[in-house]
Amino acid sequence: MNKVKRLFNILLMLVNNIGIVGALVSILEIPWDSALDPVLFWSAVFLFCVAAAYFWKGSGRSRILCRVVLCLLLYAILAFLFWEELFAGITLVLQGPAERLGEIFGFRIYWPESAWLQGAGRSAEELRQLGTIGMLAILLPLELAAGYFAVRGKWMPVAAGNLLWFTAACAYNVFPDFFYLVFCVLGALAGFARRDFRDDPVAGLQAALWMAAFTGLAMGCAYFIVLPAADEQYERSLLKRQQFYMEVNQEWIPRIRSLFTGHGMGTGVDVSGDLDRKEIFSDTLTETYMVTADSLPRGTLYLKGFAGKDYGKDAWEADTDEHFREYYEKEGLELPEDFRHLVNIGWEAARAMQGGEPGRLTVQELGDSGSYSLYPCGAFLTEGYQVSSDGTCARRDAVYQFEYYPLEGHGRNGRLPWGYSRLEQQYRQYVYDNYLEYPREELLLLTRQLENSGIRRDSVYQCVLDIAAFLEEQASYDLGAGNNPAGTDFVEYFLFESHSGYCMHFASAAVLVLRYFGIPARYVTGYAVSPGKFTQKGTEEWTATLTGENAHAWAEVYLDNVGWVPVEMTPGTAATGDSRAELLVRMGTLEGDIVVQPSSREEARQAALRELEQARTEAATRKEAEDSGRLWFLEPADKAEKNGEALTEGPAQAASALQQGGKDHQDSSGMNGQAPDLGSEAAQENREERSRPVLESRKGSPGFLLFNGLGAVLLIWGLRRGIPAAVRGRTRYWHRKLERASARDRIALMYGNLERALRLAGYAGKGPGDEQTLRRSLKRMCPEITDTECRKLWEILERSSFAREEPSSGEQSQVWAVQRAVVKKAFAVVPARLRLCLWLRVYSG
Amino acid sequence: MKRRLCYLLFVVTGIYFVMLYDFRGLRFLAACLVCIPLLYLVLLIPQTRGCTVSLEAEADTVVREDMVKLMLTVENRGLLPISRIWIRGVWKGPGEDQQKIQKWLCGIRGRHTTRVCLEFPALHCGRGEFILTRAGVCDYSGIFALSARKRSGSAQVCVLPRPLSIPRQAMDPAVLRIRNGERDGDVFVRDFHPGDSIHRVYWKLSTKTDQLQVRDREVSASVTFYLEGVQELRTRPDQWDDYLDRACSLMCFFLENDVPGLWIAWQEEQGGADWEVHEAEDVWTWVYGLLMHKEAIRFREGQDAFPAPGFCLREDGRLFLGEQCVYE
Repeated sequence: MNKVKRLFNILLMLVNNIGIVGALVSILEIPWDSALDPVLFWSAVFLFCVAAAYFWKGSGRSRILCRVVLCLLLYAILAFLFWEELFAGITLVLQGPAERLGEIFGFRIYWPESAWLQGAGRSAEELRQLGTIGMLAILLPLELAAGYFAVRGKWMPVAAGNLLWFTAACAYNVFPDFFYLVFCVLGALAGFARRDFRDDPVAGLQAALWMAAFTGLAMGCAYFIVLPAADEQYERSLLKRQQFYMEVNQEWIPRIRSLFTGHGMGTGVDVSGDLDRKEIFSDTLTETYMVTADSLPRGTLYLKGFAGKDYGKDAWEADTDEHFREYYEKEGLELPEDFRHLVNIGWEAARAMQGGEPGRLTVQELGDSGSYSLYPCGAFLTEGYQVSSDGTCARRDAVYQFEYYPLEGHGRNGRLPWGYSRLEQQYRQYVYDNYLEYPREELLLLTRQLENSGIRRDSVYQCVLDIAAFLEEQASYDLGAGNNPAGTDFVEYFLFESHSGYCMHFASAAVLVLRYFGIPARYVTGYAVSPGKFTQKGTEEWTATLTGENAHAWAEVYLDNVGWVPVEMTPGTAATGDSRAELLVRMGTLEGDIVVQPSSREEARQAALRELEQARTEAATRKEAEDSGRLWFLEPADKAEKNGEALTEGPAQAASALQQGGKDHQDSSGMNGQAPDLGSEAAQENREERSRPVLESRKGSPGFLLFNGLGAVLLIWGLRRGIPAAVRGRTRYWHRKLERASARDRIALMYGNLERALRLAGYAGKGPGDEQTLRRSLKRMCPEITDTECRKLWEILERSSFAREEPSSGEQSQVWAVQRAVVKKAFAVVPARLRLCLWLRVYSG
Repeated sequence: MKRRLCYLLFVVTGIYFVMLYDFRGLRFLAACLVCIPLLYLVLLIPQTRGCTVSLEAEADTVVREDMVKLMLTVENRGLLPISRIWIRGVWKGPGEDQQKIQKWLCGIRGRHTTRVCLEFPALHCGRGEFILTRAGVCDYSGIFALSARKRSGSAQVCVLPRPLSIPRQAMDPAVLRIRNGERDGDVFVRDFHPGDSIHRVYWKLSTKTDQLQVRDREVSASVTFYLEGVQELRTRPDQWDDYLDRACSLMCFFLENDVPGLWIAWQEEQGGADWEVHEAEDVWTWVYGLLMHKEAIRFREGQDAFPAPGFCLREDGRLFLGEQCVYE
């Protein structure tokens, strides 16, 4: 019977292993052909199952403990002796999945390099075997531990294993193959058979086989009949879910918002200052706005919605009206009657400069999109618009229109009307005091780079040109760029690590760099429409339909006497292409740095493009020189400044050191914030030293092994002697206590013992502690105790409590006999996990 | 119940994750979660039909303070092993509250009979009954259960009293000559013997004859043993046990001492009843009938028991012969 039971356990463990381990390998995408040897792996797993079944054989606890300690010792010794090879094997198998996990969740796992792998001459077969051994080394202790529970029919390891692979599947977004799923299901169900047939393993094995057969049948039905229907149903439900989400976003949320803001409904793809992608509700194909102009715009139309002032970890934050008012009051400035006058500065400036008739623009929201009313630079906002101090305009109706002057800067060199001039002067003060904030302490790397970037500050035009070139050199446009990992800065990660991003990245970086160079700038999101998007509907009607694709982010710079002017820093967007030169020319003209006539606008644009290209080339050359000069920094600049030295390191090490915060490298290298010059042998050794694991130094140390061995021997000896000694000590204590007590106290102690034993065994009666209750409890627990004995016990207890005479030794013996019988029965009846509690609370003697 | 709750939890979690993740494998697992228990339910039907549960008592009678043993037999005539069977029953022990029992039997092979012994302590005298209320067969997953067939649904056991041996010396020797009322035997006068009770002295004659004369009676052919307060004592289990113990002990004592023609008489709701006892077997038969309310005991409706009993065992356990207590 035992053999059958053991065979059952082995089969059960094997099936569960195939399922769980196979699922994990499948989820972690560990390649079978290059990292693991299937034959070796599964044979070893089978052997582990057999070993686990025999390892826990026997009931002698001390023997099992010896086996465990010996096994652990052996494992530890082998691990120390072959640490490099093991680590290499584990690296081969797990480094990839660990790094992938880091990419998914935005953290970095520092995986030390394996010196063994870096060595030359490793064949593919060798690597496969090494990977297999590494994986098996991790599995072995887990298998043995799981065997402990499996042998006792416990479900825990199976449940834990299945939960582990399921969690990994959700984390990695990869589900295991059907083959392994089948084994997981079979293994879990076989556990039922194991549990139900624990007293009859032969029947259990039969039942398990029957269950496997029927389960296979059921899974076949599930796969061929139910699954296709489920797939179909899932697709339909997905569609319904998307429709539901759209309904929620386009109708419910705006309705709720409108209750609070009173400004109509806003929904859909909304522009904001957030710096991460919203994948759940983004929908780039849905039509959001229809823009109708009375004439074809000459350049890209930038319709702004949100304006961000403060650079945060996750988002640009808008300025608040309260802050604006507080500043004006503090500085004694005159608050404008309506914030829309601040926006109309641009209109007035353009009118003064250009004159002529303004254009008319109508914006129609399709499907109730957006929380803001969008308007271009140079627009005139009437009283009906609710404008905030940062220039954003709350959404009002679904259709709105305004007049606007496209800011081109040519024409008369006009001045603002007096009222607006004064307003602009005061507003300028506010802008220069609030829109030049640059978080130097958080952007140390960027600061260092900009110090040596060679960006010209002769004029705003030159500066913006050089900044655009700098950004283009640092990064490329990629709409699929992901989020920055936790612990890194959004802009620094974009510029110095990922080197790829889209409009949000370029715009954020541009605003910060502009501010660094003393140009007030802000981050704006809205919609950008190129002239090519417009189609002519009538003589004076050009219409463009905007989708989510047109959503865009750009920087705006503040030009004195003009107001906020957009500058494009993104080298080519999906919707508008590369309009940097165009805006550059416009801005330069407005600033007065360049003079462009309307007829030569295209030439000016070409010239700007050429200058941009030239600036980019210069930036690239400068960057190469920097790289070769190796001006990377190992630690935060303030620490370096404290040390008074510039640190030199390689780019890769510096980048990873930045991830670590620099400290770990310093500690492990034993140097005080300094790294040696690259190219020196000392530096090379230093890097190798750092990459080796810490425990390497103890490899094979005899003293350490001896110490460990002695410790294990002492532990075993201590346990073998200590536990029985503790038991004997306790018993002796109880007997001494009884001897010292008086006859009455002795009876009371024994009765207390008896009562505790009854209670812990679950036989204590509910009710008053009278003779009947006691008799009933005793009879239920120990039927061999007769009625007469119960009655006599009660009489003795009553006499001992109330009578004058002390109980005789005969009476004490009687009570002792009953107490002993009850306690002995309690130990037999109580489950194993409560025996310690029983032993602690009841003195069995 | 635990398995069902876990299953429901799995189903709910499964639906949630299926909606959250677009994994075909996950949908497959969800489909398995539905198909496998359904198939097991279908298999359960023939398993249930092939399974029978029966109950019988190992012995019809048990002496008080012994254990009542009932044999529960589960027969699986089907080919497939049965993973779990649950049995629910009620034990109505004499003088005790009803005890609900639920027992799980795990792992029954195909074409196999399993016997399980249920033991209950016989604490009081009377009729004990175990009623098998429900029996169900669970499927392999433990989620579904169908009722199994019951061959015999109840078993009765009679808990008999435990008689004690009474030493001969404990009884008044005169009692052994069994005096009864006027119904049995003639009265005669004899000389006073040492040891005779002073109450028997026939003073009227003694004063005339100047010798102490004692009234005595002939040994009767039969004697009545009246049990007092049977109806009230039945409702007090502990006292009823002691009373029956004493009654049986005394009857056995009398039978051992060749007391002829013992008639047991008592009064119940239905009327008066009596029972003739010639040997010890008859005592147990009587006790069995008394405790199990058998029809063998005939009651004379509306009539009392014998009007002039000989011996009377009072409720407190003392034996009286007339007005004299002869044993306590």
